[in-house]
Amino acid sequence: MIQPAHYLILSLLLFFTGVLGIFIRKNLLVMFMCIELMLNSVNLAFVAFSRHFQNLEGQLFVFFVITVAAAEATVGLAIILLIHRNRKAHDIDQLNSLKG
Amino acid sequence: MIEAIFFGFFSLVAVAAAFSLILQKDPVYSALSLIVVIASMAGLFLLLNSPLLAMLQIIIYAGAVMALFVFVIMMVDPPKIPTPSFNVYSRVAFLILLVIAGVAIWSITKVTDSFTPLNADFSVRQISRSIFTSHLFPFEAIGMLIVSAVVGALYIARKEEA
Repeated sequence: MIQPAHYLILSLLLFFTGVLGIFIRKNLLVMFMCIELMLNSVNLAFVAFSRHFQNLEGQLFVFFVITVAAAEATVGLAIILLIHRNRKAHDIDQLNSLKG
Repeated sequence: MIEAIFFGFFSLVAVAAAFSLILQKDPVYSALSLIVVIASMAGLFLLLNSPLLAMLQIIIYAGAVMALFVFVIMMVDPPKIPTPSFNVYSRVAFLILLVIAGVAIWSITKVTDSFTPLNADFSVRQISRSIFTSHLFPFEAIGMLIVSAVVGALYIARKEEA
């Protein structure tokens, strides 16, 4: 049958897919979506542990994580919009004005 | 048995859509793949006896956050460059990542606990009671966070001359 370990392995696979996306993509929007993917995979582990230990705390944490992720998406997308308006940049490679 | 079938379906869809997310050329298709990941994650939440979180996942993530993403993609209109790029750094990072993932998955397979039948109260009523009694302060703090995030986003995304 399905055990907690299965959910943890799935969560880990999704998390590392997100990390891999951060490594191989240069597009700001796609990198931001990879961050959302990683947050989601952690949520899955939280809910699996909540079900396993019969404890509601994990679900409450997921509630708060979803809310913080929504706030983070709002601010992050506003920053991406601002970068587009001021610098016409889509890739992080174009944002190198701090480079010596 | 039926639970295993649903778990297999949702997890296969989630992993496939996650890889589609990081490999698509067009960010719009990446956003659609992320919506698929989120929807299958909601299905997994249902399997784990948390219908409230499944609904919140659909409403907040697939509804609000992804709509915001699609709007920003529409306004920014990023170029469709075949970007998956492997330079030396990302190759090394990929190898390290592979090792970490292998060790982590190998150590998780040592966990052999199985789910016991649910005997705690996982109802929406109980979750709401916890939020508004024992977790009232984090709830209020998160409200402040949302308000400040919205005000900040409006401030930094406004037109300069206005």
